[in-house]
Amino acid sequence: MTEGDKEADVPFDQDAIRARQKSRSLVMGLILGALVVLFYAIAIAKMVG
Amino acid sequence: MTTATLKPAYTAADWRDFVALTKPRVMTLVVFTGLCGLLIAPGHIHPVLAFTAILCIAIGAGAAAALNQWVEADSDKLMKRTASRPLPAGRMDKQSALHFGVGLSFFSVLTLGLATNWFAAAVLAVSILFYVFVYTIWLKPRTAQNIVIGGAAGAFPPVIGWAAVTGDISALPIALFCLIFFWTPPHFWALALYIRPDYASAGIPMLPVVAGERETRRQIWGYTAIMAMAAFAPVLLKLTGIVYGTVALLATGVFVYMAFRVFRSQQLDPAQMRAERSLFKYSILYLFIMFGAVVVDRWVMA
Repeated sequence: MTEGDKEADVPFDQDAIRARQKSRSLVMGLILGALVVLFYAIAIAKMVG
Repeated sequence: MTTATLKPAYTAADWRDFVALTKPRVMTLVVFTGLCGLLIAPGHIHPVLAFTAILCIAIGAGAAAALNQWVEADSDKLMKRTASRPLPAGRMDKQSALHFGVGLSFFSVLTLGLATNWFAAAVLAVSILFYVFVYTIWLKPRTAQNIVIGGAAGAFPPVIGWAAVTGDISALPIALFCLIFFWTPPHFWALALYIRPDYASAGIPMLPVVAGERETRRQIWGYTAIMAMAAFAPVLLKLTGIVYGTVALLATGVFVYMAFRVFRSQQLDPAQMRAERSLFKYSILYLFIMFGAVVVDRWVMA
């Protein structure tokens, strides 16, 4: 059996994918929240200016 | 329900891989030079808008880096230095990288335009397009002088920072553009000398691969001389004062000395190229020192 065959036989952990997707969604949520705050602050700064 | 299944062609990339795609370490220099351009510009900008401008410069640089890696995914596989990046390592599919890069490009340009002015946004757009199309796609795979012209892409941040405040460009940001432009060849070729085998195996015609290490050392020395003139231009044109002049004299003197050591070196073994590694590391510090000096000088003069 070659190294490549061994690698192909290794099952991929579905839970690991789910965990990764969850962390991506969390980061995306945080970024979107930060953007809401940023655009609100830009709007206020432009009005003040 | 099973927790183990066959490995799909592409799994969802980790968010850290998207961060890695933006080359955060390169971004620090971009952010710093952009911030300096913004701080030395005459006039006033609201702190929130200033923060947004720097954020957009950083995101624009990250977008260009992501698109650069999308274009070079195949050649990155062949280089030890780049093989562990998200695309060549197989942790991300190419389409995600393309969408990410294009999305960040539009976001950074439009947000900068809305927050500050459309001239600064246009310069940011030009810098992204220049890096991706002129440097990465056109010049890099074709000519050994790729980074000489392509280096212009990295020279834009102080101009964008200045333009975000003033809405135009004047002599000082152009002088700072020239400093980064002529700094790029000795900076990059010092690195290229000791990773030449990597570039050769990837078929990228960097100067040490095409013209040899002797010619590269000669050109490092030549461009260092031009860079030194660009470093003193702000003083000679009376755009900066004694603080910048003194720092420029000392910092550029060290740069010239280190470049001369590289020029005189006859070392052929990349593992033993200490002078080249020192020049590369110092060149990064040099740019931080010079731009920091411009800011301090302008504040002292004011």
